[in-house]
Parts: sequence; C-alpha cells; structure tokens
Amino acid sequence: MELIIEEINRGKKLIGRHKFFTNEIQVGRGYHNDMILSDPHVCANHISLKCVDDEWFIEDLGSINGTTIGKKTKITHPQKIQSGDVIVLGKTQLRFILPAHPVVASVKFSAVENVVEMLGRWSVIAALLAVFTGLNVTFMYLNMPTKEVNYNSLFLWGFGLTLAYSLWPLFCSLMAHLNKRETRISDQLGISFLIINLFWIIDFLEAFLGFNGSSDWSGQWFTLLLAIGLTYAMFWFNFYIAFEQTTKRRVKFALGLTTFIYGSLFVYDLSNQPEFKSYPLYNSTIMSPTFAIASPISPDEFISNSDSLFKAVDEESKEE
Amino acid sequence: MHRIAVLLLSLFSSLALATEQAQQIFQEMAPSLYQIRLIDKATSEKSSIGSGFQISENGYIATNYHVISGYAQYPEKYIIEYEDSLGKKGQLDLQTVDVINDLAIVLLAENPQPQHFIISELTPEKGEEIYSLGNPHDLGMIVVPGTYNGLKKEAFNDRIHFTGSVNPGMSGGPVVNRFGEVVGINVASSGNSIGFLIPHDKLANLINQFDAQVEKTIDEQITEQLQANQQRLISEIIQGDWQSKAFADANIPDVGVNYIRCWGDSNADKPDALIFKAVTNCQMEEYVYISESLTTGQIDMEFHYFAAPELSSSRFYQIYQAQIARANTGNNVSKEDVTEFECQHDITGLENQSIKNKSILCVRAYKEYQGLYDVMYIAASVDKNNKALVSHFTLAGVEKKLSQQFSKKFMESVTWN
Repeated sequence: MELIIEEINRGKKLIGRHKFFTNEIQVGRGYHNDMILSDPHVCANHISLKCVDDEWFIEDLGSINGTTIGKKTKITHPQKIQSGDVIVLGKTQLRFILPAHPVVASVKFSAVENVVEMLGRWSVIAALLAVFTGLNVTFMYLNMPTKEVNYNSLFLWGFGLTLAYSLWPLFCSLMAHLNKRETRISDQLGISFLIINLFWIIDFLEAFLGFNGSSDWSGQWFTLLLAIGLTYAMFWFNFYIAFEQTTKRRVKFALGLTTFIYGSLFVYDLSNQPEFKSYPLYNSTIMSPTFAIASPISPDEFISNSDSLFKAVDEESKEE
Repeated sequence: MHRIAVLLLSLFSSLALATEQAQQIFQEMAPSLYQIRLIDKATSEKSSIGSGFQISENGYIATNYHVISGYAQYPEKYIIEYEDSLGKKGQLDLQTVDVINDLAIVLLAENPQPQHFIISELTPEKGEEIYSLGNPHDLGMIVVPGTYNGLKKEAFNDRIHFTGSVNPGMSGGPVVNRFGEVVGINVASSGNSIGFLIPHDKLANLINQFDAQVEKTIDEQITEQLQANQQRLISEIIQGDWQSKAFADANIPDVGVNYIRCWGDSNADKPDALIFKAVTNCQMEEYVYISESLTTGQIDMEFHYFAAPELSSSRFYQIYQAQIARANTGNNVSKEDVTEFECQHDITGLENQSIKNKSILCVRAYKEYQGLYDVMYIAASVDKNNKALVSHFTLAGVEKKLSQQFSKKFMESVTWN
C-alpha cells in the first residue's frame, strides 16, 4: 500500500512531500536509502518501514540518537503506524499519511480574497498612489504662505511622503517572506493605500463637523472611532494577506496592534501636557463659505450658552 | 541786558530757594521716613525694598502695595521690616491694602516716634514745585525736587504726572509740597525724568475706611477692591455710546473711553505678500498688580483684516485658519491664581445677516478672588471668499454678568459695511 511521508519543520510547516509505492522503505543519511535525509544527527541506516497486510510498521535500525513517535514514545521494536503520526529522528520530523487520510473541505474564493485581488492590480495601485500624492501636494500648496511656490520641492515632498507611507505594506510583505509565504507586495500596497486614502475622508469629516458643529457636538469622538476602525481594518487585511492564521488569531493581532498604537498616542499626549495651561485650547477649524452649512445662532444664544462655561470653571476653582 | 540779568538772577534765586527748601524739608521729616523691606524667612535676606512714611503718631506707616505684596500673598514666607533714619530696625504688621491704587498701611507697634507726615488737603497747582522722598536702589534717603504736572491723561485710575526722577526703591515714599504736606506717593517711573505718583486723596480715602477695612482679611479686601474696580470700569464702558469705526471693509467699535488706546499696522509696504493684513490693537495700558505671578484688570481688543482678491478661497481659508489658532489673554497668571480655560465655539450671526462668524469664547475663574474671571473671545468671519475679519477681546478679572453684557455689545458691533 502507498505511504506518503511529509518532511515538516519544527513549526509544523511542510518542507517536502514524498509518495512511495513499495512495501518497504529505508530512511537514513546513506545514499542507498529510499528517502535520503541530510540531518547530521540521523544515522546512515536509521529506520525501516514495512507494509504487512495493508498495515505499515516502523523499526529503528539501532541508530545512535534513536527515533520517537510524537515527542515521547521511543521506538524499541517494530511498531504500527497510524495515519498522521509524526516521528522524530535526529532533528528531523516526518509525518506519515495513509492514502485514505481525510482532507479538509476546499476553500471557496472568498469575497475578501476577491477584493484583495482586485486592489492588488497595478492599475488600481497606481490610481490609489496618485490620489494620495495628489492630495498631499494640493494641501501643501494650499498652505504655502508665500506668493512664490517652489513646485520642485512640493512634488519632492509629495513623493517622499508616499514613499514613506509605502514602508508599512513593504514591511508586511517582508514579514510574509520571512515566514516562507508569498510576499504579495501588490496586494499589500493596494489595501494599505485604499485605507490610507479613506483617512482623507475622516480628516474632511472632522474639519466639517468641527467647523459647522458647536462645542456641544463637534463629532470628535465619532471621527476618532472611525479612525480607530479604519486602522484596525488595515491591520486585519495586512495580516490576512501576509500570514496564514485562524480568524480568531488575526482579530487578536490586529486589535492588539491598534490598541498599542492608539494607546501610545494617548499616553504620549498625556505625558506632553504641561502641568498648567495658561492659554486656552479651542477648536479653531474654519472652512471656506462653501462648506458653511450650519445656520448661525444669535449673540444672545451664544452668550447664554456660556453660562455652562462659568459653571464649569466655578466648580474647578472650588475643587482645591 | 539789564533785563536778562534780572531774569537770570531771579532764576538763580528760585533754584537756590528750592534747594534750600528741599534740604529743610528733608531734615525736618527724616525721622518719619522708613525703608521698608520684605525679608525672606528662610534665608534672612531682603527680597524686595521700598520706602514708607509715618502718617500718625501711633505708628501707622503708608507705603506701596507692590512693596509688600509678597507678604500679602504669602504671610508665612516673609516678614516686613523697617529701617529708620537712625538705622534702627524692627518688624511691621500689615494692616490694610488698596491694590487698585497700589497702597498699603503697615503698623510699627513698638515705641513709635511721634513725628509724622500730614496729608495735604489741597491739590497742588500745575507747575508747582514738589519734592519726592525715598531710598533709591538702597542708596540711602534722598530728596528729589520736581514739578507737579496735573493728572495723567488717558488713565482710568488717577495718577499724578511728576517731572522728576522716581527710581526703584523710592516706591512708597511721600511726595510733599513746600509746606512738607503729602500730595502724592511715589509709584512708578517711565524713564527720562517722568514719574507717576498716587494722588494724596487715595491715601486719605484708605485712612478714612481704615476701621472697616482692618476687620476683613487681606484676601477679602483685595476681592472687594477688584470687584468694585471692574464694576466701575466695565459698566462705564458698556453704558458708553459706542461709535462705529471703519476698519478696511468692516465696522468695528470705538468704545469711546480715552484710557483704551488703539494702534494700527498693516503689511501694505510689502507688495509681494500673499495676503493683505491689517491690524488694530486697542488696549488699556494700566493694570492691577496683585503679585509677581498675577496681574489683572486689563481690557484688550484686537481686529485683523485679511484680503487676497486673487487667491482661491480654499487657499485663502487654509492660510487664514492658521491665524486664529493661538489667541490668549495678556495678563500674567500662575496655577495658584486661576483655573484652566474652558472654551465653547459656534457659528454665530447677526439678525441682519451682516456677518457670519465662527465664534469662540473661553473663560477661567480666579481661585482666591471668587466671582472674578478672565474672559477671552475670538471670532473669525466665514462668509466672504477672499476676505476675512477677526475680532478679539480679552477682559481680565471681571464678573460673569458684566462680561456677558460686554460680549453681547461687542459681538453686535462688529460687522461688514
């Protein structure tokens, strides 16, 4: 009966797979073996496998370092093999599979996979990069306080920024490569820049709400939540593309990284606060009249709203 | 020729007379003059010095509030000490203060000598020779003759304009007429022989209220004085008739009191500037000194105009936005004096739709002087594509109600024309 032997590394990753159609297989470092291993801790004649009545048996041929089934059971006499058993000889691990071994159900191309593939097209990536660079350059131009505009440096900065932002997706590809997975650089770039571009919308929303809203509701929490959500989504996709993980593990990793980033920002912000602020902090966002949709309130209403400010500082002054 | 000789002679003789008089006054009054110093208890060293003069036979001495303000704020940190003309030293007790007029009365309780200054009942004539006494820079008591030039113009709280040098250390010393009667108290110098004095009637008032004042703690006295002062100041301004004043394409208020003075500037001399900017800054030049860390009682108003007809409105607004990000009040404060600011913002407009603003109002409360606040307002117009008007004011040390009345009047008086 056929026997499939899989060479696996210590992380249970498959390195090689061999299928034998004989009834006897010799495994060892010697060149006369059916399966030749290069592990120096393996003997020239290490184990022999025999098929008797459709059942496979393993026997250690008196090797120096011995052979174990699983991590513990040492093979001292011919022993029957179950499909899926892993044996350790030297530092090498082999898994035996019988032809009738069940396989998991096939995975259908998921919607996520389709989206990733679509974003990974180079035409899409080019468009996303163009949007990102274009908007950056535009805003730098709008903020230029002088009549003279140095377009060279403007574009240099724009491209530099795009390059800097590409480092993250490239890093994810590198991690995939180090994990012996496909790098999928284009997929990483596509998804990352799609989400980075979505941050422009959050920026706009934040400005628009900060400008039109009153101090009662300027939507700061709303936009912060959106930003956190987007960051989480980006990491989720990066991990989805780079690593083979269970969904639970991926969610855990993405959540962990998001928490770490926003947590650090929060702590940094907190530690940078002066002990006492003698200057006022206020929302000074303004936009051009096109975006002014809020209907103005009268000075009377504005001033009567300020009662609550006086109340708040009164309470603060009495706390001490 | 003959005439000139006579003129010269008379000039000489009057000068000689003045010097003689000064010497005589100084000799007579020297026993009632004191150097006042704050001694830091921890190091036993002087932390500030000034002058003072005895105003009654039982040992009450007048000086400037700012000379002993350290003690008024932190009585456990300092002691007030005097040194008289004979070099004798001793301790003084703080009795009452007037922070608005920078006056304080301290008591020399142990064996005061009986001689003291008399406070004049008359105001000097303009041009009259008067004599300032004090101990400048710790150099010993001196007398400086000078001229009474009436009250300072454009001042909310009266100050005498004195031609003669008032130097640091002379603060709190008396200024007397040729009869040796007190007509003022040294308070500040403006360099180049221009000095300012507190009119003698302010001291007379403080003495009249003495019995009621000493019943209260120093903090209570200061709170009441600050409240009364801002009440007088802000009500006068609110009740005044505000004229509308043209500022570029806009109308801004002229509050019509002479102690708030305006200055203007623009970048019209810089043709390559991207945006035309003009600014009018109106402020009160006097303030109330409470301590090294706290000054209050000021009013500031500022108006900015921006225009760039050739610029796209997106670019104009990006640059304009950066101009309103950092408004602040002008008075000194520390953590011990006030809370942090609380702010609100909204889009505001007037009924006739003559302007639409993003308005921001920030408030902080005084900790020691309850019921007083610093109020800051800044509004940026958001209804024109290529021009903008920023209106801003700060009120330091005001009550809620008055500040709100002021805010309303201010908001309603800034419009496009």
